[in-house]
Amino acid sequence: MDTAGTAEAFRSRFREEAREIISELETSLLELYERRSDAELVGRVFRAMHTLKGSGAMFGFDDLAAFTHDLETAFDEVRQGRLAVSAELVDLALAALDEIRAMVEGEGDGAAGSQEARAKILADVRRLTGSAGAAAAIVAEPASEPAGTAVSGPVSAWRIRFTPGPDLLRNGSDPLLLIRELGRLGRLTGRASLDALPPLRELDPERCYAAWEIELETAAGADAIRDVFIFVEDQCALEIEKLGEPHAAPAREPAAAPAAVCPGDVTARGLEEQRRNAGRRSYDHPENTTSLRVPAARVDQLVNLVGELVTVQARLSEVTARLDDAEAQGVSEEIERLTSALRESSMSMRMVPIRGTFERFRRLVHDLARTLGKDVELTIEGADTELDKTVIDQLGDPLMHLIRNSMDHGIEAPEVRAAAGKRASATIHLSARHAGGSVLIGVADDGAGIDAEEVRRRAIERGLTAADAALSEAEIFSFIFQAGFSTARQVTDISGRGVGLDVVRQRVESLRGSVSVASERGRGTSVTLRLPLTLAIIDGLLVTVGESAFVLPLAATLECIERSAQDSGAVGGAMTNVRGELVPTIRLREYFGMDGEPPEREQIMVVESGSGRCGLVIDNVLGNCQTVIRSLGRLYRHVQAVSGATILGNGTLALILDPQRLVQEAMRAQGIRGRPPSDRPAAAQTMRRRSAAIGAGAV
Amino acid sequence: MAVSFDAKRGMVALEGEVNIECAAALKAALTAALDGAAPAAISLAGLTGVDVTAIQLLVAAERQARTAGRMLTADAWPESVGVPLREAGFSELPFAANAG
Repeated sequence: MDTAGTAEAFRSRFREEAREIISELETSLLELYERRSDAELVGRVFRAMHTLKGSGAMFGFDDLAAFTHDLETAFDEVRQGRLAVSAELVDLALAALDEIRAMVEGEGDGAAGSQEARAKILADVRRLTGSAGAAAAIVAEPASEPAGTAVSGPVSAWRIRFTPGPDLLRNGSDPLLLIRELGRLGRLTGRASLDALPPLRELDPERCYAAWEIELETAAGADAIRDVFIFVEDQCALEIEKLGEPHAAPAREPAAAPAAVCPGDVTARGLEEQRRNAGRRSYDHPENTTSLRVPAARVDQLVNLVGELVTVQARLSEVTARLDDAEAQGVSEEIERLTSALRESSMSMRMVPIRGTFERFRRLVHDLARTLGKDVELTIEGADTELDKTVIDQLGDPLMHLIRNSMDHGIEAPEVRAAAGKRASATIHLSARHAGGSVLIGVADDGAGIDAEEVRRRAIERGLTAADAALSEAEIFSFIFQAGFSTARQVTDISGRGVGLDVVRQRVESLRGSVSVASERGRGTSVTLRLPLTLAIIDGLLVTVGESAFVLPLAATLECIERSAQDSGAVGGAMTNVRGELVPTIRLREYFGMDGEPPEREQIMVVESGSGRCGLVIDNVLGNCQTVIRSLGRLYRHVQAVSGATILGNGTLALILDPQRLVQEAMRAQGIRGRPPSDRPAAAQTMRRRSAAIGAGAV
Repeated sequence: MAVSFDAKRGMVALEGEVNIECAAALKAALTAALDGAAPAAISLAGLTGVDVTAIQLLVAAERQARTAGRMLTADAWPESVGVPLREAGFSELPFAANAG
């Protein structure tokens, strides 16, 4: 691997780890806001900042290291009991964290705006700690360290022998940065030795031949010194020796070159020593030996391969079923079992708990509450509920819109709540749980609830429903998810443009899910998202049109009606009479431009999406199927109405139809806007139907 | 490119950050400079930073020149690079004695 690539790989590795630390640090800070004298929390915050600073310096993120330094000092003061946690300190730390995040991502390093912001934050921090420009701040031992090692106190002299291993440079570390970091602990004098350097011709340009002997005067203890080398300790030989009280001038070794440690020695003596010392680090990363960090692309590749295996195995089953060979069939069944288990196993690898997504919102709620002057608490239930990674990645935006909406419009100002006899502190409750083959995610608040009358008025205004239509509450509420719909008097910065909720519905539907709302005036509102457990596999209904097979998402299909050639209905086949209701219809044969004659008896599949319903004229329904979805690839990205493809057991390809698009198309063709005139709007009815179906164990 | 070698003039020029990413190129340039007929020189004026790999190669090149009786000189180390190097323990920088 080329070295430039390696260096970049290690920088991005640092970024990954930094992101995790930043995320945990944010959580800790938010908790600290509520529990200001929690020593364990303070310790956690301190350690996180220490790690950010140290590894930042290690990988050349100098700005980051310098910036974090003062914050680390501030929290060290807190740890030592010399500074109390205040709202201001936490807010400063949170603001600093945003800057740190920007630095990690490499944004705005030199941007004037950021520089100013950072300088201000640092000035404020220093004001709080009362240390104006405290330069070489001593890094003291964390209080949790066992066996008394010296806290900031008398200065001692140390001799440190540092011999990088041959590959230390290749692995992305730079000894010069380490020594600079060491120098921040106190007064440093070092001697580098290149005695081990071979002649130019034999020199391996990427290997480290240098060794150092360093004298350091510092009040920090051995562990703080060792911490500097924490990330390279298994790639070098390190000796740390206390020399006792320093002399006026650091004692210099008389004349001769310091004993050069041969790189060869590293592997033997030095590393053994390192291993012995490992347990004495001031903090051990809680080693998570039960999980691995694996690039998502590799898991995807595995899942794809398994998907193909499933397909081929289905064909194998079919072929062997036709043979009259019991032995072959036995083997085929065996393979079927194993393939099934393999598929479950690989799918489960992509399942991720929703905790991370939920926890991210704590910061949002905290900040919004401050901005809006409202008192809001976020509670979370079911954080362990797992979803497919592809689904979770898409959930962030919809949930954010829902939370913002709730905070802006749902939750009342503290005075209003008090006047209504409610608790001053409002609650937003995020929940997740499995239900059948789906996941239910809820965003609920105990705010003012939705004014159904207002919504109805708005809906009539926008022509989404007739003035005299008798609508149930659920049907009225579902209007808020229509495009451009907003009953907000003012468009605030946060929400009210009427954009957010429509995006929510669309995103959820593109995930083959659905959204529903319940609300009680004065008590609160609850939005529930129902999503499939995984996007990679579809529960579908297999249908045929001519020679081709198509798959319709089972969740979108309502019913199937038989239709004979004579029964074209009053409006020439473009509308279908579904038990008294007129539903726009598309003839798939025509839509896809197929040749050949339609059969005598056709079927009409009624499907629905959030925008309405339509009928699809097909030849036959073959039955249910559960298959792995293949994307069509970029070439077909713009093809409407088809969302993917799948390979059937007999080896043929079936296209997966997109109900959302088809419904839109059908409605557009008939000039229908909004929901079709109906007294049984789709969503609510489907909710009931699905609940009944689940109850009956059909899903 | 941080490292360049002008064969005709026997000049190795170092620009900007010279570190492990161009270590192989630096070795090649120094080797070529020492193999060439003309007296060789290294330009350090454009340096903004080095890491251990660069130091190692320059020291090795200096030693090689001395052993082979070849002429290899360098101009002065920029202060911004030389000072931190000395502080990091390289009390005698390669080519430091013979500026120009």
